[in-house]
Amino acid sequence: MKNGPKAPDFRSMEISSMGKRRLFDRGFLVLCLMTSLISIVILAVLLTSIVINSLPTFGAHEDKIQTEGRWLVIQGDNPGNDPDLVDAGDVVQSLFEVETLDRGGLGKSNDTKYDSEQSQRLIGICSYQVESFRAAPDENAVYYQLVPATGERNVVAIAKQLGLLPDEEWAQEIQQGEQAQNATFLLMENPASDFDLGKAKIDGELFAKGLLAGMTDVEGWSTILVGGQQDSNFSTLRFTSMISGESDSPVKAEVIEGLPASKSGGEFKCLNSVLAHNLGSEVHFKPVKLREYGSDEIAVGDVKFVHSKLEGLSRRKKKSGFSLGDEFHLIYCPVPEVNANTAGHIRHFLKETNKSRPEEVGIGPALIGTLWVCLGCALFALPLGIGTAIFLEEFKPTNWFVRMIHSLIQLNITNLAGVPSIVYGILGLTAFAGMFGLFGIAKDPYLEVGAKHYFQYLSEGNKSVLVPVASDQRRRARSLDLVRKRQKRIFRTSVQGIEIPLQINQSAARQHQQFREELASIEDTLQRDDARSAYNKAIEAMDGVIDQLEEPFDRDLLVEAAQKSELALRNLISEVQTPTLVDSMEVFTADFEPRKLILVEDGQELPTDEAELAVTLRSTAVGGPMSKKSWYYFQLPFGRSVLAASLTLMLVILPVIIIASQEALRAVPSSLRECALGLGSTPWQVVRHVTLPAAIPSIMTGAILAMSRAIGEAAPILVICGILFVTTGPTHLMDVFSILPVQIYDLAQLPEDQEAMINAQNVSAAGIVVLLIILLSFNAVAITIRQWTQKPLT
Amino acid sequence: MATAANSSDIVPDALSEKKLRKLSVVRAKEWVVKSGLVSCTIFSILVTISIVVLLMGQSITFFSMEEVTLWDFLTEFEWNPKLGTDKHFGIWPLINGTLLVTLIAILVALPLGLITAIFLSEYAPRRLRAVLKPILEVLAGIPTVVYGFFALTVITPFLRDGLGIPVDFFNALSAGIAVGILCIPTVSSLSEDALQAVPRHLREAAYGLGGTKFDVAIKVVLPAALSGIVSAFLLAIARAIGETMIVVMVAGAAPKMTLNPTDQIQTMTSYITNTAKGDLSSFGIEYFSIYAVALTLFFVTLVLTLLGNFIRLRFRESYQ
Repeated sequence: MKNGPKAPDFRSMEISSMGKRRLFDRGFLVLCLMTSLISIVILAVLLTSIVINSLPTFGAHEDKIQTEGRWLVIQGDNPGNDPDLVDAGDVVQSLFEVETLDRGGLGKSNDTKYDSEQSQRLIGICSYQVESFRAAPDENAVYYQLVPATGERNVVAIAKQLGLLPDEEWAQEIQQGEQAQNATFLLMENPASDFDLGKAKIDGELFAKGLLAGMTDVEGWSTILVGGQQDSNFSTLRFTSMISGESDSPVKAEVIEGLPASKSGGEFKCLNSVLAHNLGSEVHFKPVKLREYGSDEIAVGDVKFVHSKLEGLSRRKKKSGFSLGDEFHLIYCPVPEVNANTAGHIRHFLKETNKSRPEEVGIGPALIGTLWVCLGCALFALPLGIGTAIFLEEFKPTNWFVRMIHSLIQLNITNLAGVPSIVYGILGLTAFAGMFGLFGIAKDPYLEVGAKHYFQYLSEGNKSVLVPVASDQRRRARSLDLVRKRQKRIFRTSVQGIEIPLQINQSAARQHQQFREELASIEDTLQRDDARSAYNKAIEAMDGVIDQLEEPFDRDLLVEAAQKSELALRNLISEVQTPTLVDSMEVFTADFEPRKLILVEDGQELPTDEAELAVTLRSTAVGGPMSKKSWYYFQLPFGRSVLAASLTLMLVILPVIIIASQEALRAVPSSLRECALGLGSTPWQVVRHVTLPAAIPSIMTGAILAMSRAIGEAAPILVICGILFVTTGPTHLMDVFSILPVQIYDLAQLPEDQEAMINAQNVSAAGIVVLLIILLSFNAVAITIRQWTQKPLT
Repeated sequence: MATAANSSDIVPDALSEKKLRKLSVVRAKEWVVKSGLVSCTIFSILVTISIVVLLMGQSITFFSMEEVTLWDFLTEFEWNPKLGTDKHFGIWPLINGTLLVTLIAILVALPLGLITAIFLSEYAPRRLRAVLKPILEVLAGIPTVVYGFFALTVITPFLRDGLGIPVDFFNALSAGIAVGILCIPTVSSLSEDALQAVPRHLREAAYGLGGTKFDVAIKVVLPAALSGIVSAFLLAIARAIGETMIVVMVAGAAPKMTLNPTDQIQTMTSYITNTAKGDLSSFGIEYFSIYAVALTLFFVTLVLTLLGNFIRLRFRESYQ
């Protein structure tokens, strides 16, 4: 006792009065109560604000969903199958639009240049027929054609050519302006309501000039200049096979060239389309976000016609767009889409897709996308996580060295749980979506299974005709593609226009010599003239590169030669793939029904029967590649696909599942294990028959909670999927997608004008309500499992 | 001698029908299962290794580029990767933004979380506890994008119109508050666990000496649970630093050196997200810069997590 603690010297201590202490005590209690109530208040405010914001969507409604004057895009050849939607008087003429879709983002945008070249090719054969229309019975309807005025044919030049430079000073201003060369639209108007594109026959690359010439020939056209920022190139259009005269006869518009969009992910004003609006009302340019899709199909937006004013084309559709060569009809729909009460609004919200007007937005595709991603994530994460937990808990090592590794793994998993999810997003983007660049780019997969390749033509009956690509052609094209990729690797950075010092040496020249030889080996297999000329051009371009590779080389010239060679090779590959058309060969319709092809030489009579006309091609027809993907479609690398997102999400929740499962296993009393071991069970038998059954309810609870975290996780998926406007859920594992949290984020981020922002926020809040309901039901399931199965094991 | 007939008498009925598996089969099965489980475990290590290798490798590419050196990265005070020729890659503005948001979040989360934990553990009657705990769990389970929306539509307008603070549309303050709310459950539940772990007899001894509830909670239980509480703090800070969606939605995208919470700033996480979802090419310097930023982020959170776990294990006061 001598060395024990000293008794405190109470005499020297100041003992606070009881009253003071009680005051402290009570005061702290009050503080505690207030603080704890804060969290309740926060939750209440949060939920209330969301519910209030979501009321416009979920609240009581008697009105109709504001879809008056919506343009519907209907696929197929029977536009009038829904008589309610068609108003005989409201026929629209020649509305056509093709966008070079572009999505920003890593791993993807990098390919933008190539991709848009590719889509250029796709657009190149895109022909579609549009019903004629008259915008409004109003006499004063004015049609506007927006023409990009860029480069040499800048706005001043065009204005000069047309002799309508209004003001020299202004011209100077434009000329000297920062974006003088590529920043202005030319707006052309036609006050006559029966605008007939049939008379404007434009061809070739000088689209703007040509169109201008064509347009000004048309009676009643006048041209005005409007300012407008343009950061992107447009598609150019060619109009062919016009039936002139009657204003509501079909007009066929063919897009012959789509220029690559140089800006991606940004916004640019308005579109290269015919815009119609009432005289006197303000021209309204709606900012449209550009995106790019990894699909062979061309997207088309639905067109909105609000108060007899066409504002422009809304966000593009992806899969509900049309395939190349498909026929679609624009039908003016003067009635509301849904006669909506509250239930109608909710159904609309849950089923519909993205719309350009926030108040009409639905979350259907995002919901389905969430389902896919989370299902995939659960499929991967649960076995892996539970397996790891079982190993760590039930197979504890005895050896000191292994035990050390064991505890290191344990520490590692604890730390993995602390890694910010965005880091997993980057990991997923690089490892799954891009596969470290080992397999090329997603647009150009190294390996693909489950895709059938066709060449698509537009038949004389304006129907899509699919000609299967022969397997040896495909093989040859792929081997050429390998050459192209190898060449690209050598010039990787320079071809893409990014400044990284080139390391060119003798070996590059040698390799190119080899490429040239490989190229030469296919010469005999080429039969068609087009293919031969493409081949010659490719050889020439290759020689150009080899010439440039001789020391000392000029960097710029080399880059130019490489780019040329790349393009030539691409053309050659496309030509090699092009099937040779033979009369009565087996082809498919758009519904993949086999038919016999009717090939017509120039000057030959066309068949008169419509069914025959549908499979009739001229021998000069130009097609484009198209592929059909089955549900099991698989490719390497995964690209920004559902699978990549599932795997990324798996990384995020794996540590959570492991830790929860470990806790669950740890809670199983060891007496049970020892009993089973004593009966002669092997360790796995113990786990299989004793520990796991005892722990599975808690493991499931933990897993469900982890999944509810996965559903709400936005950041890593945002990195993978980008902001994408999809109109259907994914159809195969490699499909592009969007998920609910990302869509909520995107909607909340839409500060255009005040009204649109409020509407967007309302829809966003409605999305949050759906998300929270899903999460709450998950939690409820978890709690129920816990309640039902919790029985004492000791 | 045991004949076949005799042995069937000896074997219990329950086992007589049972076909016993061969030992070698059982062993093989055991081996297969075990190696399957081992490979599951190896996967988790692979994840860590690939994170480190990927971030390191890409960061090395980043630092080997002409426009940037490691020295600039660590010493410059300007982050401007998008300017044409005059690019700046000094990490400090991003760290500044991250720290600013984290600081505000801590100011919100630590006092609130800790006091809630003390209340739950020491004061709350059982019925109130049964209400409060699920509410905290719900707060913890709400997706961060919802908090972002909340900050955008409620907190920022409240700060501007309700309190009259001249905040920008995007600002660090409301982002920090939202992150703080997000962190309250982390702090409170981990701290509560630590407080609950303090043995009962310490409390009883303190009461026996005439302590009030306040004395017991603050002077006895809190110091005894300090290691657990500090580790909870560190984990919450790590979470605040790594938080992404809220700052992407609310804090803006302007990297700058500022301590003014009403300004818009950019954090490391929001730089990564904005760049990765944005319109940048994936071979340019901006692309590689996100790996360098992510490496910094990974490093910071790793140190905090490790420190938190270390403190919890090392300085745990153990009472028998």
